[in-house]
Amino acid sequence: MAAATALDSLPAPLRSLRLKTKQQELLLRVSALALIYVLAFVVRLFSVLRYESMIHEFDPYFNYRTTLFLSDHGFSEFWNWFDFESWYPLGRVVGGTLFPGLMVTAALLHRLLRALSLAVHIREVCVLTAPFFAANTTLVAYAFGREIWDSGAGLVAAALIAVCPGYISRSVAGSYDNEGVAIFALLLTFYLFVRAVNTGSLAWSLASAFGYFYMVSAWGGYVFIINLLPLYVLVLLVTGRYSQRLYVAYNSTYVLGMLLAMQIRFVGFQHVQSGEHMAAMGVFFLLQVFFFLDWVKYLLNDAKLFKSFLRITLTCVITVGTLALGIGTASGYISPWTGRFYSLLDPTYAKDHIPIIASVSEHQPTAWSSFMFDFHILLFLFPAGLYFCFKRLSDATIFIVMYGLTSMYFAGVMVRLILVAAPAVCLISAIAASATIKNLTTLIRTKSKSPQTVSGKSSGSKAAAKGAVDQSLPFQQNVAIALLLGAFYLLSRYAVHCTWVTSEAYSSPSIVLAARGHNGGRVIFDDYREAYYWLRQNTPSDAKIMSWWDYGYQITAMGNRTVIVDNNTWNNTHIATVGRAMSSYEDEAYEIMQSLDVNYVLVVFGGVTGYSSDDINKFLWMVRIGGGVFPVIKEPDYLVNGEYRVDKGAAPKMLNCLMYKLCYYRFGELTTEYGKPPGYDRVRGVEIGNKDIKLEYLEEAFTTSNWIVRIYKVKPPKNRS
Amino acid sequence: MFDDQDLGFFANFLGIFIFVLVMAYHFVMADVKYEGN
Repeated sequence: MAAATALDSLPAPLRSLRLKTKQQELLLRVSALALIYVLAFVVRLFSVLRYESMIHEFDPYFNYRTTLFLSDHGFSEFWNWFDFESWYPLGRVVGGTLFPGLMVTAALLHRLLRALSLAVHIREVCVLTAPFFAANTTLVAYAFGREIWDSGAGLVAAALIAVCPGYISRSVAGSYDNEGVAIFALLLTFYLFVRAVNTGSLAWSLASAFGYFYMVSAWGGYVFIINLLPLYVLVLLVTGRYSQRLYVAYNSTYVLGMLLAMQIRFVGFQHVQSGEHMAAMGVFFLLQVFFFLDWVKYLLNDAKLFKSFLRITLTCVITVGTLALGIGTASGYISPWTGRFYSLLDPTYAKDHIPIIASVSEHQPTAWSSFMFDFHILLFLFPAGLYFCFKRLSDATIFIVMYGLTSMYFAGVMVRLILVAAPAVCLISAIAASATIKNLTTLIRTKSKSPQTVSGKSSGSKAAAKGAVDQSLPFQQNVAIALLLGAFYLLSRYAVHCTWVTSEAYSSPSIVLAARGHNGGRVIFDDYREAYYWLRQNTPSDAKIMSWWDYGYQITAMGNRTVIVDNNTWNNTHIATVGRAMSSYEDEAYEIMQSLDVNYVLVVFGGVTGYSSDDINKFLWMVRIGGGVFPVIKEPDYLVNGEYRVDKGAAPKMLNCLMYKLCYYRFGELTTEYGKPPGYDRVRGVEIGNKDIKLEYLEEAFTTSNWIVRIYKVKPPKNRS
Repeated sequence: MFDDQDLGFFANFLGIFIFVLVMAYHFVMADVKYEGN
């Protein structure tokens, strides 16, 4: 030991600083965890430094608005809040249609900081909630890794998850959404449950139930837990791993977790009434049957008698279970699976049956490149980790294998569910990485002790012979060092890749857009906020704004105006009505807008700046969703030979529908690009087909500086003469 | 002023340093004198 020899030659006071192995281990573990905690937090702050401390995207604006309400009015008012500003004229029962976990967490954090005399605005708390919980997730990942493998694997898992892009994509500063806290809750629940199964302790089981309650209060993804846990229990039962520990853990978690979950109004009695939750209840009863059979077996003490008893019991249980399920489903007491659930099991279901789900980009099936982008080296460490898990099969490793495989399937079905798979992939990959590093370091360290080892084994035992053969391998230590350096190189590439992905791809707030100018400098488009502030300052406070549902939350949160539809998408007919208005001729649309008391229409247009997520590109979904409810709207009317066009060859209905007119009004006079004719659309790359647009029932009220948001005023009805 | 490029450098440095610590941790754990082994 070179280091030890060097320390021995030091003066006595310095020599006393030398640590024992256990102290070294503790020091390294604690400092690594502390640095991982810091890294997980700071790596998510790119957008704050690059833009400003702001809420991102769409849903977070609703969460922010409700958190403000909760903070200002208190929990009781929040819980009973009926929001008149959305879904006009229907309104929305906010308290009964949201998961309050995120808002309550942020409001409590804000209150705590105020109590500590830190005068922070609630917006700052909301912006930093997700990074804070991501940092906490690393600690849970460490504990979980230690539970299923060892502390080395826990440490690697914490390091991997701290920067995993699949998780970062939903937890950067400003991404104030349910997933920000839910992944922490998900992993915590799983960790506590596995610990409960490993120990059979009631305390851990109850802690797991509370973890589950927090998860239910935070995100609809809790359905994954309530289906994975019974599946796991079922697998343990089938593989003959039933134990009292499992009985205590599952029953306590399920019963208390279910009772607690019922306190969330949005979830209500679904645990006993919805088809999606029935697996958990079925396994609960199955466990009782197992326990009962175990007890009878012990009492009877006669194999033959028990066999016939088993046959009768199983027949009765299966009959009763099937009958109960059949009657419950037929009578309508047990609701069938929802469309979202079906679309997870069958990826093509949403496309055929629920266009409103299929229209969202994050609900699309995942491309292979996304996996590489979000997981990097974890993609090939994951199968290696599975190999290690199968090699050392235990209750805990079975759980992580099941979590990994099921979540990877869901991640393939829907791109946003990469988020759920990320912790499992990190944990399983950490097992592979840690076990490999451990093997290599053991090889390096035992080599130096080889003379003693060989000379100490005088008897010709098999192990000693094997040891002697192993140690005679040439260049063993050198190869191990080289492999260790290779492993370190891969892990450091992972860290660099994650930072790059976070910085380049996942730190854009999408409410403020950035592009590179001709001179390479950054150009900022702040049109969204410009438009919303205009609405707030220039329209009557009771004005009703019609736009596609994507912008509903932002309009109510920033513009403080009533919207017809928003991102909650709970009422398909209402959205279809807006879709119909946008795809109709102006006079037909005017009638619809009059019936909805619309005062202003807001459209998003990217033809000037080249911003591709605009309403013209979303328009076919409006047609499909509108046509799904109102058959007068037919998709082929807007296409030419199945092709979607906006130039001269576009379909006549397309050239004269409301959306086209509102987006391209006065656009024919504008030159957008040097060397191109006026009216050249930079997103579609064509000269538009209708440059002479006249509006009869609407008038232009405001267009932002880069034309990204255009607002039109609906004219009042003409005087009857 | 600490800008986003500085943060990128800091995150890279910290990420690589953490993996150095992780390697060192495994190295220490592989010590035959460690009580846990």
